[in-house]
Amino acid sequence: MRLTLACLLSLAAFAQDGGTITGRISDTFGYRVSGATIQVKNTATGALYNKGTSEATGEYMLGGLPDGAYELSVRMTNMKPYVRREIAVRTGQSVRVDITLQDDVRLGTLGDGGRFFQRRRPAPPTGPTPRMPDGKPDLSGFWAPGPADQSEDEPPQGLPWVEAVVKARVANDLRDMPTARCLPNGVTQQAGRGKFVQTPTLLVILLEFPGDTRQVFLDGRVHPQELDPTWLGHSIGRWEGDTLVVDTVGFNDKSWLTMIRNPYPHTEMMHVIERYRRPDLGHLDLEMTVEDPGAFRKPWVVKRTANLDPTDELMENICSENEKDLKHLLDK
Amino acid sequence: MRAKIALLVTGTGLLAAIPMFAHHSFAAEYDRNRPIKLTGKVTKVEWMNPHARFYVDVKDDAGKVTNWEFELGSPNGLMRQGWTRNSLKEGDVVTVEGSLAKDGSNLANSRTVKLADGRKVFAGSAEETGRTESKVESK
Repeated sequence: MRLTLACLLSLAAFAQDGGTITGRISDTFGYRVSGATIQVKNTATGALYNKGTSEATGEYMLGGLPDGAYELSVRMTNMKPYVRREIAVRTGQSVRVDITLQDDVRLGTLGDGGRFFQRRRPAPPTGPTPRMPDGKPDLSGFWAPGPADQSEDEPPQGLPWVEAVVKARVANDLRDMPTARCLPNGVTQQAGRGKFVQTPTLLVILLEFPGDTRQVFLDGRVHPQELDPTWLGHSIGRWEGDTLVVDTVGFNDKSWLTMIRNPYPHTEMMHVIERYRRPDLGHLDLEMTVEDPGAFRKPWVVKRTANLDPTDELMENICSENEKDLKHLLDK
Repeated sequence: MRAKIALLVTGTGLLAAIPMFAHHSFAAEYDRNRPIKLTGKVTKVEWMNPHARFYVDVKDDAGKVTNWEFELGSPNGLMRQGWTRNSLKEGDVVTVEGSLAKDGSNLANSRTVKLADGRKVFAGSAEETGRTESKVESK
């Protein structure tokens, strides 16, 4: 990583005692990195200062530093550690160090290396929200994940049996995630991603892995009284203004809420409400509410964003074609 | 060709960003704390889902040849990084860095794959740039 230094004069008065190191942390995709752990060490004394984390905007500021040379260390999960030495700090001065963290990628690290699959995507196109002939928003497009929302960091509040299952799954290195057997990711993991194909009466959501198809009926029908529990459930959609509200029931109890971050189980009582908005051409916003009185103390609500990527397309992915990992997955 | 096996201890934590595609758990199969670096000739490439794989004959100091299996990402993910089914071919001499399988088989998860001339194939980022800038502001 190459660093260039430039000296700039700032007119801003600096009221704080000591000097300051400030800057912004980004990844190689240009996304701001929040929650990175930052620490500075006085090179001469070894004293540590201001262990903190970067803001949601990726910005950080470490103030009140006595004059001297400092070593700045940044750590973030799934990214390579960053160290910058010999940063000279003087009272009343602000030293700006903008940082690009490199992914710590393993090519087969599916799950651990999810960022790898986001690739360096182009900026989403700009323009007004596309609309159907009846004036409703048209959600069609290939939607790639946008920056992760912090709501995804808030785990559900599970009933005791649920928390016990999660603990066991984590202790077992998530060995039994359904996708390891080429089974579906499930609605809660995949909501807000994939290829949306919308008609006036039906929204089809194509999911690349492991090739699932969701049907969301927009023709006014209701859920059937008797539903066979399935992986993806039964979905109906209705419009509330420009928001498409997708209501899904009829799940089996086999999917995980998400594969890695929130590997929670659920019951057949799970009820998922996805609220989709396309505020402009290039963005799709989702707020998802997951209710399950058999598993959670209260509904789990997460927000996700997705970016339109006209340069990419859904690809075939036949998981069982050459599955060779299962026999190597160890049970603890 | 000499086999160089380097086992180092690192302290990387296990947590995850939201994956676009998660097939299996890394930690259930591979040991992050057992990095491996091997050099040898590619004997086979499997450009198939859910993971692309390739196999390398590695000769140890005693001259014994062992065929190693290396796991890559999915072909879809690799293609989105700009790699193709022809980026790595049978007969190529490569140096692979990765993590050993926990079950003791001659299997590793690839992290970077370099050709003999130093070019990278199947690196995590097709374009490794150092766009970091730092500026010193003073009043």
